[in-house]
Amino acid sequence: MTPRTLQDWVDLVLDASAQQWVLRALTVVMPVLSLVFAAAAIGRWWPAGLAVVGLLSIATALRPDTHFALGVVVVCTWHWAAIEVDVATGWLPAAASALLVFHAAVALAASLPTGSVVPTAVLMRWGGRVGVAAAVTVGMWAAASSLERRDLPGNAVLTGAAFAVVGLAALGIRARSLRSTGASPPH
Amino acid sequence: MSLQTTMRWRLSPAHARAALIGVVGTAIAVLFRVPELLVLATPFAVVAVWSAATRPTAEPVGRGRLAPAEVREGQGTTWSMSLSGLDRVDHAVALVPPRQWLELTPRLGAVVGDVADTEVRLALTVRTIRWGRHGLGSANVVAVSSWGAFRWMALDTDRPVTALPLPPVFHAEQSTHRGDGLVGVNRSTRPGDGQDFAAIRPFQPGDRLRRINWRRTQRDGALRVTATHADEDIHVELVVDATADYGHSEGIDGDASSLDASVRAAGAIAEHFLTRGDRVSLRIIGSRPVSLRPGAGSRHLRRLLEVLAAIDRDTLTRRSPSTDGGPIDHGSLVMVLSPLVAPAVVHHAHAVAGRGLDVAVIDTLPDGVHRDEDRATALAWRIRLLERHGERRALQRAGVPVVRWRGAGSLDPFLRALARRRGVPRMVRT
Repeated sequence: MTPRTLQDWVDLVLDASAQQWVLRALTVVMPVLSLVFAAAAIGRWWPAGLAVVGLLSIATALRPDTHFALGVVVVCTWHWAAIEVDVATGWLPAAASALLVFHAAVALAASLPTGSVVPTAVLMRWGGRVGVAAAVTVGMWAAASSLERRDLPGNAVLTGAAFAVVGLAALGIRARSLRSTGASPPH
Repeated sequence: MSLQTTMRWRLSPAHARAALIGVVGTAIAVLFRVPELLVLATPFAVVAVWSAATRPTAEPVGRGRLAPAEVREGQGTTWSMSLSGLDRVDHAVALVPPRQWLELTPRLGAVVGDVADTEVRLALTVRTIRWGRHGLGSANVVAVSSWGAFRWMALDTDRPVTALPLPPVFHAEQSTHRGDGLVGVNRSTRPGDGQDFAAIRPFQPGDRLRRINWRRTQRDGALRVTATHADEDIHVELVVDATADYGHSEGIDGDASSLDASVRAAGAIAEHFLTRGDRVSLRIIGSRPVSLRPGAGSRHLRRLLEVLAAIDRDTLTRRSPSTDGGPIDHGSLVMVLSPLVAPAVVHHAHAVAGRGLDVAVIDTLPDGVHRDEDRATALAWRIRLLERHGERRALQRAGVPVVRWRGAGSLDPFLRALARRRGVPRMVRT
């Protein structure tokens, strides 16, 4: 990581395009919003969490190509898993979608120079992808809340099958992600 | 080869984040029956699977180009990078870092291309704002897969662009001095076949009949002819003092340093005389003396501008410069472009004038160069300027006109003085 001077940070802020400002704003706002949704679901605030997530989000906005974003998502999901909340609440898919938008904004901001202007077609494509992933999330929420209402007993076979699916998916993702594309000679 | 691939397809922190949250979150949700966590991990799992499924399989092929590589200062050229083989690539990015004397459009040198097919062309405009040879630096080229999960990076390095000095508009109204030849567009001091009227005189054997002035002949009752000056070309020797650069250079749109003024003035004078059909040679005095033999025509002008553009002020030294660039043709018109701070150049002008050649010194020291926040430096400058004033006076007493470079018409007084001096005997030191 190259050390930056204060002037570098000032230049970074001044040189950012309007689109980058929007992406960075989403980076800061969305995780905080997911905690606000949690507060709305349970009726109480988590000030310390808000402060931590806010700081991590700002760090992510300044350096999107780092693992600060992972910390943000971990803290938010841990909070949602820790609180006593009915899975059928509508705030849950809203929070999941907020974290999805956060992830997409960080990923797009990290792949672009701060002063660049993104073609509209790219933005539309990313918006469409986020919409598809959000739709799948809502579907999962609907299925989970439906199963929760039925209060079914535990099933070892189903649990094992679910683990197998998750394991296979993990192995598949790992294999495709770390695969070498072969030698890359200078062109 | 200018395109150097520095990375293959690599996963980004975004993909690591999505895979970790998606897989671990789902596993914990299943194991401990936490449906809230399953819902929160679902979008990340979707993104991770989507990204892995659409991972690019082939290495892109890039072809960088900077064309034209030679422009006049102030003009723009285009850097472009054509990427092909972009299967499953979402967008491509090029980032050219800012460089001194180069203006980029877009301003920050960042351009993003949408990869609709498997090819994309990234291009940005590079405007040179100062003469010289500039390097574009290392342009970063990045291809990004869907969800920003994988990136391929390359560097396009060492694209030089040469900015030829853009001479200001320059013209000289005065005709110039004597020369050895009898071809060209300038009025010679000698009578002969030419265009410029000299006198009406009695007919002499050998005169051409078409030169007879019949109206005057009828009036005088004796044959009279219209005499003309012979036409000639001239040889202009430009001597550029590149021993140091004084003042502040802001490029073509701002203040000019002494070297800026010298180089641009040399280009302007060369362009003026070469387009008239005269011969121009160039001699650069500095740590790396360079000479360009006399020549004429547009190709010679281009060569001369290239030599001027190759002056690198970063390598200039304050050590005693070499003024020995070979003999100067008799009858040449020598123009020394200098800020007149280095004594060696002043001595050179004296020496050339002492050989009986027509010499003019064009003073290119910018105004206000002596102003400095450091009082000692400012005082030193004032002392040197006083000495310089005396050296200028000494040059003028030796018959060497010293004129300030002010663009069009700067040299008219000098050329007029030369025309008056035609035929006047001069003492030559041997």
